[in-house]
Amino acid sequence: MLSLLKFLGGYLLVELTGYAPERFLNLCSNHDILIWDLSKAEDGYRFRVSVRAFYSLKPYLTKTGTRIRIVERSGLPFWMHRYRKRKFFFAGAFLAVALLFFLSCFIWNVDIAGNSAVTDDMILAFLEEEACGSGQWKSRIDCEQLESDLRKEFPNIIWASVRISGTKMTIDIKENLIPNRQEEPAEVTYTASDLIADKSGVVDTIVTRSGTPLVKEGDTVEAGTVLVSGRIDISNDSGDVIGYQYCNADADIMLRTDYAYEDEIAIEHQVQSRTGAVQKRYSFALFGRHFDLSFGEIPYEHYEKTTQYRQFCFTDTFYLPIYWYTDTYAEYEIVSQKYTKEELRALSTEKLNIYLKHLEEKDIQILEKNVMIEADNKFCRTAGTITVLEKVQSRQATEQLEIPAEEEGTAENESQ
Amino acid sequence: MRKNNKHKFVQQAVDTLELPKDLVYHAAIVTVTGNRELIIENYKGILEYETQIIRVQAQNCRIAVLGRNLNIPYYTNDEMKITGIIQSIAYE
Repeated sequence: MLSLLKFLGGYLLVELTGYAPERFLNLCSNHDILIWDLSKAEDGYRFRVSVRAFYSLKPYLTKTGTRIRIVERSGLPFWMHRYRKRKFFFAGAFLAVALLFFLSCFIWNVDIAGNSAVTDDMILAFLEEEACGSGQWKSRIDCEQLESDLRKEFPNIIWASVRISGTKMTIDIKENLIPNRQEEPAEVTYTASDLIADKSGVVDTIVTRSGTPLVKEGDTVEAGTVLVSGRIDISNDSGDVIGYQYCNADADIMLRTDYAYEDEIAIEHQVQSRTGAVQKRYSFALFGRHFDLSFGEIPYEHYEKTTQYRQFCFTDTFYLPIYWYTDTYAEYEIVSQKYTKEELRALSTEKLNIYLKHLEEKDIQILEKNVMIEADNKFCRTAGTITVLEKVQSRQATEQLEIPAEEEGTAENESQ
Repeated sequence: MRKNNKHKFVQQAVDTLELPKDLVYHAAIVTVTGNRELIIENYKGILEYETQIIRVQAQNCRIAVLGRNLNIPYYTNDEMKITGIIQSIAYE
């Protein structure tokens, strides 16, 4: 810091000769004149002194009978004087500073933190729509307005904070972690409903709470069969039906069903194998416009492209709209390979296990599985049945029947 | 005898009150780093400066620094720094 001040003010290297140089040095320190880099020269002393202090040395020089001679001038004022004819250089320097100042009036980088369900791209697209994103005037952006707009646009966001520091906009977000129940489709409600089998199988257990059970344990049912009816017959003493009552059938029914499982794996399969040839290409982007630094086609038929980019920044918060891209092209070949027997077995078992896991996730209990793995020279087939125990949950509206008129009529006759 | 008593009293007072000794005794502080660097505080002025010897007037004594290629990177009203190869420091 001190050396910068010295540089800005300009300083001199001077040589001191004469009768009592020590006395002169003491006078200087007593009058708070800063002297540094003091060293002994052949016939005197050399030291550095600032330009301003140099002019105040005169009375002490005459007092002590010493003489002073300037050896070297350094610092900004002398430097400016030396290069005073380079007008374009100074104009360029001024222009660069002005440009930097101008660029610092915009947002050039948006940093989003704390989001998981709402992606960065969604927020960036929203900012673009609102004209608050990258490349906009800083003074036009109302942070508080933007915060409330964000919360309005994404109901999942329960807290948002937008800050602008330098050319960087920081958006902090808290999302609602409890899922919204309202988004799920509402269940169809019936005034009266039957429980029906959605697959054919054997009824394992049945416990009816309301409704009329139409099957019993051990019955074989087809898909679509009504298992528990929501209609309750009301009979008179002689056992004739005189009316119906309707309700939502409710029962715990476990249905034993078979799932057919079939899977086929081709023994010959294609694998992407890297050849090791890699080409790197560089490009840069200015204000969203892309400039390629390398030309020509990519010499590979199949390749994997990886792009890395870095934004140019002076400090942590002073980003500029300059990006440096590094594209890496890695060549690969498509190679046909054959699975070995062990690999096939492992692969088939893995696929089957994934299938079983999916079933278990749906609350289906697996009783037994009869699966065979067979391989010929082209394909490996896995086939069989999986016996499971599944809860019946499908419903349909109960058929509303007319109250049997004739029977009613006879009942009336009897009573008369 | 009396002067000696007074001296002792001052010394005791300084010790118990933990006053800074350089201020009370007008003592110079000499800080030496290896044999390359030396800082003198509380000095009054430079008496002599050659490449082999620098003599400094302190409040109540003189300090002579002997060595080779002695330089003074800075000196202000109350502190000076000497660099070079220091061979001896003498109090006169």
